[in-house]
This record gives sequence, structure tokens and C-alpha cells, in this order.
Amino acid sequence: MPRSYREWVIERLLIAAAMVSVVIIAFIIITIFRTGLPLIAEVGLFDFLFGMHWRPGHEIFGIFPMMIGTLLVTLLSMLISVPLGVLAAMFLAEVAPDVIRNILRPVIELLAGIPSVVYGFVGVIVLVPFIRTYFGPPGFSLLAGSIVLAIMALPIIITISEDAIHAVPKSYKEASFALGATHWQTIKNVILPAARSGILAGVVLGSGRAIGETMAAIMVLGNIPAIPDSVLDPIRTLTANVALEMGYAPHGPHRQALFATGIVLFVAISILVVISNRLRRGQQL
Amino acid sequence: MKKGVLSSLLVVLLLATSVVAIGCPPEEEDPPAEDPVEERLVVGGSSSVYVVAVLLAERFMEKHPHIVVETHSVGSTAGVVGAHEGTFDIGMSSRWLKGDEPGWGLGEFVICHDAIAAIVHPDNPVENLTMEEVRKIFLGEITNWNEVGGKDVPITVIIREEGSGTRGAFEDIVHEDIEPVPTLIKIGTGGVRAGVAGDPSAIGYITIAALDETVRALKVDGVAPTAAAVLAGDYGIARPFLFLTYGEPDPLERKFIDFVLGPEGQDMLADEGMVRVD
Repeated sequence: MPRSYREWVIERLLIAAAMVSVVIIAFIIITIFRTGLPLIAEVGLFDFLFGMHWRPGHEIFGIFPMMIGTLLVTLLSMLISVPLGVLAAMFLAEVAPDVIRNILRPVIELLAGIPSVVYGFVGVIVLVPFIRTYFGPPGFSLLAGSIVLAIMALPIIITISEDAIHAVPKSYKEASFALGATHWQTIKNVILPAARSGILAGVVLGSGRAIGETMAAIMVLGNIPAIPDSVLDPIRTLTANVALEMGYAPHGPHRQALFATGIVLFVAISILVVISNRLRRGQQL
Repeated sequence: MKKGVLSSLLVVLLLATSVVAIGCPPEEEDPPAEDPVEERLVVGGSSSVYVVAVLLAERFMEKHPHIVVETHSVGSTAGVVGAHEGTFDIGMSSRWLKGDEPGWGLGEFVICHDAIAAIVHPDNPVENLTMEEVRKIFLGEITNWNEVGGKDVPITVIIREEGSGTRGAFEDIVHEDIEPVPTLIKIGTGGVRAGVAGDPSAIGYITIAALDETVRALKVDGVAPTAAAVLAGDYGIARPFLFLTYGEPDPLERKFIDFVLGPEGQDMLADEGMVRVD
């Protein structure tokens, strides 16, 4: 009796704990949609998503340049971090001796724990002047942001890819060796294809990090809401747009427009999370 | 081992849920007033006014040890709205009220006038620009320093974020309703100053109260941005610094405003290069 009672209490508490996050998410969704949707309705979904100009002072709200900015910085950062991350994961899972692995793992975990403002600060102090000096002004640019975000996405890509590689059954590897394949041939032709969906899930989550990152993005991207001509031009991301202007938009359509920007971000991230979950479960898209 | 992890996890969860379930624990300590009540005045708004408000608040607190003045740098628009909504006892703005704002019945006190300086890197050889050249630079019609007598480098145009009082005032005076064509957007007075200090080809604008040795103020039409030039009407890029209260100021707010408008406050403002109003 007392024992089953205790079980009962603990079970309820666990349910309550799980519900907390559900309730919070529900509140966030309700708030951003209730505030943002009226503006999208007023401006028109097409004009909001594909409008080329963002002039809140004149009540012109078009987020297309910022969607492009977010897309470009995410793609470019993945271009840098995916090869690096997957190669590092292969090394950690397959090649590295225990001694090195035991040093590298905590280091990579540490990389994930550094606050984004620190990455941004190093970007401003080191990377931006470097780009300004060797590639031309202004230095605050798509390139600077992509490099910073690539570094920030690396730990996610490495750890998830490594897990995926570890999850490949040992028998696959042994069979490959038995057929006379070298270690590299085994990695390339057997382990990587088998771990593919898990690695892709890591890449998708890594791009989620790049899309969602705000502080470091504001610090190194230059924040101009225009479509860039080159990687050396500044851009503004969707997250940066909200953070930059919220202090100045305590009410009215400007604030609604920032919430509407939040809706677009929310939808984008939701899609990525769904894709990543499916990949991890090994389902087809 | 595993059991230990599980149970500790459980403890954490229990603590978390209990806090959430109970809501705010009844710990709101509001110590009953005994000896001289500590009074608190919350002042917030424009990052330009903030530069001088911090100094004024410090001096004021020295004179009135039982009063705490908090200063927040959040931008002019947030300062105006904050005064209206009660977030701030005193809102700070570095531009006149606009749009619906004049209809809110805010108490409006001009504490001084300020000049906005166009600033460049100390290594930039350009010393003087005409108002027309400033206008064209910020509108993207002049894009290289060699067009205004400088080196052959593209101009990095740094402006403030949307809603900034300095940006609003600068745009009203320099290029009215036309959108600027900036290279970079920086947050706050300090952000622009740091951006210009770090880039030899940059131009930006900040209050003259925030000038220091890391940047150099340009002359506009041959006139350096100083209080004297603003007072004489020779330097055109000037605007007021406002304190705003919700309706009539209460006694505590009044005390601080009187201090700022009084001889001591005005002397301090003049020392910072502002144009006094007394």
C-alpha cells in the first residue's frame, strides 16, 4: 500500500514535469501567433514573405532579404562545418586511440558550452578585422557570420554523427574486413552509408543551431536588411531582426511584425526538427 | 550507480515542478520602512541621454544618500513608451515626441540641447564635409573617400538601429524622409563609436557627449560640433535631450529634474559639451 502510493505520486510528478514543457511551448505558440498573424493578414502573406523592403518607420514590412540572409548564412556555415564535423566524427569513432578520444571528446563538449556572445566577441575582435584587412571592408559580413556559426554548429554535428557511426552494428564492419576491405574502404563503403540518416540528422540539427543563433549573428553580420552581392557584404538574419528592434517596438504594427518574423522562424525550425527526428528514426523523408 | 543517477534526476525534477506548481514562493520581502526610507527612481531611455544621465544620477545620489537612481540605456522610443506605461519613472528621449506620443499627456522637460557629431577614424585625413556631402554619403551617392578629398577607399557607412533617437534626429535634419544606404547597423551609441574606432574607412554619428580619443568629429560646413556653435546656430545637426514623466512629476521625480535643471546639473551638462537651457 505505501509502496504503490509512492509509485503513484512519483508517476504523477513525472507527468507534471513533462507537461511543463508542453504548456510552455503552447503558451509561446499562442503568443507569437496571436500577435504576429494579424499583421501578416494585413500586409498579406506574399508581401510579407517576399517584400524586398523593411522600413518599419514607414510601416513597410518585407522580410525577403532577411530570409535570404538566414538561408545563405546557414548554407555557407554548413558548407564549412559538415565536412569538418563528419570527418572529425569518423576519426573519433573509428580511428582515434582511446587516449586521444578521451581528450578530444570533452574539448568538443566544451565547444558546445561556450556562450554565443563569446564566439561573437572573438569574431568581432579577430575575424572581422582579418576579413576587412585581407578581403576588403567592411569585414562585418556573410563570410564572418558563416565561419562563426560553422564553429558553433560543429559540436552538434560531431557528437550526433559519432553516435550514428557507433550505432552501426559491429557485424557490418567485421563482414567488410572479412571480405578483405581496408579500414578506409570499410568506413567509406560500409559504415558511412549505414550511418547516413543519423549523420544527416546531425547536419539538420546543426543548421537549426545556425538559423536560431542570434547574439553572435548580430555581432558579426553587419545587420543590413538587403540581399548581399557577395560573401563580403553584410546581411541581417531573421533572429537578428527581432533582437535588434524589439527595444524600439514596444507596441503597434512594428512589434507585430517582429512577432510575425518569429512565426516564420518557428515554422522553419519546426520543419527542421521534424526532418531530423524522421532521419534519426531511419525513416524515409 | 544507475539508481543514484535516477534518484538525483528525480530530485531535480521534483524541485523544478514544485517551484512551478506553487508559483512565486511567498518570499517577496518588502522590509517595513524604518529609518529614512530608501527611495528608488527608475530612469531609462535614449542611449545618448544615458551618457550624461549616469553622471547626473551619481552626483544626485551623493547628495541624497537615501535615494537610488537606476539608469537604463534602451533607446529613445522605449524611453518614451516606458514613461507612458510606467516602466520608468522618468523616460529619456533624444528627439522630440512624434506620431501619437504628444497626445499621451507626458510631462516634458528639455534638460539640454545636444549636437550630433559625424565621426570618423582618427587616421582619416578628411576634416571637413559640407552638409550636402554628409547627406550624399548617408544616402549612398558618395561611396568613396576620394570624392571628398580623402584616400581612395570605399566608405563604410555606420548607422544606428531603427527607432534610435539619434538616428531619428540625424535623419530628420540631414536627409529627411529618404532611406539611408548604410553599410552596417550598430546597436547603441557605444556600438557606433566602437565600429568607427575599429575601421579607418568608417563614418558614423554620435552625441558629442560620447566623443573620445578613439574617434574624431568632423566639421560640417567648416563648423566643429560644440555647444557654442549650436547656441550660435552655426552647427545644424542639433536636437534636445528630454526627460519625460507620466503626467505631472511626483515629488521624487521633481527633485531629480530640479537638480538637473538647476545650476549644478546644468554645469555638469555644460562640462560634457551640452548646450545648457538655463
